[in-house]
Amino acid sequence: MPRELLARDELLVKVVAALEEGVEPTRRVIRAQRTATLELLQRHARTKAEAARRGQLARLLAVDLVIAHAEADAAWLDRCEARVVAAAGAAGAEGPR
Amino acid sequence: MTAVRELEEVTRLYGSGRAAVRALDGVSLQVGPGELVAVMGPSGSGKSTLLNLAGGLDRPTAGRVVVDGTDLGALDRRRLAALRRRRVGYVFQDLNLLPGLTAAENVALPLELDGAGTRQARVEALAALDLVGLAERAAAFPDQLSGGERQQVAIARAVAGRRVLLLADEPTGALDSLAGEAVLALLRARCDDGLAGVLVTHEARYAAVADRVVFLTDGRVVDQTAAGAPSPAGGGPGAAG
Repeated sequence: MPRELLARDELLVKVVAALEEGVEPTRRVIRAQRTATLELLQRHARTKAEAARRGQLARLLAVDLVIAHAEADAAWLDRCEARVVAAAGAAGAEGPR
Repeated sequence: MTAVRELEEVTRLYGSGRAAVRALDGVSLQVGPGELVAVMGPSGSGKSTLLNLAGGLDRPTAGRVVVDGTDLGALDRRRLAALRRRRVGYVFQDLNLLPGLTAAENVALPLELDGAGTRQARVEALAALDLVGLAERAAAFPDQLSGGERQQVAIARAVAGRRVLLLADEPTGALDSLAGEAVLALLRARCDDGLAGVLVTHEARYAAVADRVVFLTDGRVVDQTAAGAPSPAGGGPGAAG
């Protein structure tokens, strides 16, 4: 595990910490984070619609950037859940460690 | 608010006995007029099954599906088909436009099949094309339209007439990101005008246009975003400009 990544990525820290608790607690953390990310994206989407209505191109580009980051988080969380489920399946009832 | 579309503890099994697959498992979901709900989830989570049940294309093994006050389970096949034609609009990734018909004729066709006169159907079709900003392309054939324009025609077809429920299954699938955004903006606008909408998508940026995002896993609703999140009109926490 790259230490510098753990040191700066709060999302990664949360998920990795949850792994110690087992599969279901990890999935709960992932789902909670995904829901929070989607709620953030919903707010960005409203901001974007407003910027589009007002023809504010610079603001649109800025919102596109934060949306791209949040989308990447959501995609990564989806991948995390798939990996956790797959690892749990491979390891049987023990769950991933 | 009276729900336009309501699923009550809906379960859908495919197959029977030990081989039965539980595609949906006790899912409840309400969508009101003017509300757009997005459904997300991994492959096989039950998204398409939910949409098929919501639109009366399939029947639940258990539970109730109510559209505009009508319990679909109480309808025979003929009445169910009529309700689907008149009250429910569908937008799919595969647009299903007929290549030999113009944009206006494609939009008018379901209305004519439902008994509207040719003239009345054309008037309603042109009004629907106008709503999606495509009135000037009414005489164009599908192969003369861009991918985004074809999807606009499909949306016009889905909202023409007196529809109350709009169901969209990955409507942005084949489009580039700006065309996809335009399609989502159209769906959003139609819901803002009073339709109830359900959008199945795997893309978070498109789901975020909805009022509520529901997450399905293994046929169950495992989470959803809060409804009525604060508007950014005053520069909410999401404002990033």
